[in-house]
Amino acid sequence: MFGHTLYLQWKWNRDFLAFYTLIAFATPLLILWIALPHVGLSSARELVFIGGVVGSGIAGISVLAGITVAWQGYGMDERVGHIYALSLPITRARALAIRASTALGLLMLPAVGAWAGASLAVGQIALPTTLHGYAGSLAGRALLASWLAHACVFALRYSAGRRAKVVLFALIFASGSLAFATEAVPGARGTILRAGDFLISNPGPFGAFFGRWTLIDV
Amino acid sequence: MSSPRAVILLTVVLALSPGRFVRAQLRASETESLLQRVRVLDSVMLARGYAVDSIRRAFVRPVPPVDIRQGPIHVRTDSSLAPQVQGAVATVVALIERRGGTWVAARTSARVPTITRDSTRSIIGMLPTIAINADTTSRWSAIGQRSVRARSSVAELANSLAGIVEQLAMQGVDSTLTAWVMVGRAPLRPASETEAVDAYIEIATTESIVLRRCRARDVSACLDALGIDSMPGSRLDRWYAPEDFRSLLRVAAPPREDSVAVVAWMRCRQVGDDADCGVAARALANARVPLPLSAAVRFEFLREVLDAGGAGAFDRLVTSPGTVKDRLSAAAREPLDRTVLRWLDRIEGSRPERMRIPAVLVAGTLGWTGLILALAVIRRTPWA
Repeated sequence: MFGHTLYLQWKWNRDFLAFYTLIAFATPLLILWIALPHVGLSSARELVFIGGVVGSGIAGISVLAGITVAWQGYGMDERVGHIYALSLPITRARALAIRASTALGLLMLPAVGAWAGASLAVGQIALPTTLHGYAGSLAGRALLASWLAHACVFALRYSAGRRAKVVLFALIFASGSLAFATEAVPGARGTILRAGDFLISNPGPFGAFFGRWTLIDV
Repeated sequence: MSSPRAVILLTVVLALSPGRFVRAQLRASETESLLQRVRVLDSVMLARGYAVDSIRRAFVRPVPPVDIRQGPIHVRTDSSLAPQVQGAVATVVALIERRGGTWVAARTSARVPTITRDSTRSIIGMLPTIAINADTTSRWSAIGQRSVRARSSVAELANSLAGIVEQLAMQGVDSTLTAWVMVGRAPLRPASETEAVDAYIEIATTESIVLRRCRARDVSACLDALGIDSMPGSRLDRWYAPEDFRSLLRVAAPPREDSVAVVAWMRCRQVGDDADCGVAARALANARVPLPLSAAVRFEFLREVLDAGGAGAFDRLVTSPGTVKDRLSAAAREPLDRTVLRWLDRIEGSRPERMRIPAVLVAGTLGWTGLILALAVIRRTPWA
């Protein structure tokens, strides 16, 4: 069952996965290729900045990869009008659990692409002794972020169904309203900021998305 | 009555009548003129009154009713803020006793800071704040007003008040020391967590030969980079090697009158040719060569000196004669080489591991991912 679901997920998502893996591989190389002639090889501060740009790019790619795989899986169910696994003698919960775990496995591909591209990019430049390349850490963060993004969108799609877009917009609106409330209601400012800090800090729910994303650092 | 007499009488009456009317008109116009004059004078007086009030407000602000005195600190505040302010004052007094000494105490006791409720403009309407002024009068504007949120804790209030005391501590300090410190305040508060990290990042990412030598534990290079003890030669030769010129020229430009240097500067930035970078760098005036270390790192080192010196360190720093190096040594009560090496060790030990993935992050992300997926999987509703 697991193998069959994995094959199905691969069949549905292979184009996207190939695209994201390729992009994740190429992004560090492309950014360094574009930026290095302008900053020079010995400019530590600029190298850290470029590393940050690479990190941001990888972060965006990994989150998008997670979102796409989750969205695509539900999209296939919606297109055919039923969930494929319902034709098999297993429960819905088990079918979804297998589908989620196979998706998490497939999302390792873009992270591997990011690691390979980042390692190659770091190997191309002679870093000053005060700087280090963090290809492995960057790929690890990319994997965690893509898993988390996938989980969020998977939960949204399979819980809200056709109302997913409405729920998504409601969540975005609620977040914006809270940001507005920090200014409009000074009494609630501290509580909102603490809640926001919990959400985006480690080990908060979205801590993987935030924090340091860079290829080159001290 | 004969007719001629009647004619004369009528003539006299007619002759006199217009004069009375004219006089009456004249009186009326005089009254209006006077009224107008009074109004003009009133408006002038009102305008001047506003000006006087404005000037009075500029010089003297209303003094809050509650008087809090503790140690060298004398603060005026509102009754609603008094409990918080008392706590904050106690914290700052302890700070002055521990790290300030008599110099800071004397400077602080000469002022009466006010802590009052205030408001500030925000994106949406007004935001309530607590304003901390360095003195009851606003004539003395060397220290700006500090504001904290209206619901600040005692620690936050104490932090702002301590910031003002740090600025007061530098009042009256001689120009040599003031110029070296650069930031216009003394490091009385303990270092924040990020200061040493920021110093490490700055030292690690600044291309400068003097910093590389300093990191190799060359004390004289550290003293030169910190602006304490210069080595012979121009700033450019002492601080920057030819391989550092390119990054140096990202923050400094030759004088625009020197067209050859400006062209070389542009080519250095665009192409990165070493010869061009050398021409542009050599054209920099000695005084315009950027310092290898920022004021923040220098401030961090001063804190190390005061920590080494313990009680009365700031007094010794301010009152000792001699060069900046001598005075820092007197404040630290040890040879400055030792202080520099200890500071360097601390900075080197502050290397942040910002890209390390902590186990908590892995566990937390996996946990939240699992929880979110589980909530979606166990939801017992139709598919759409």
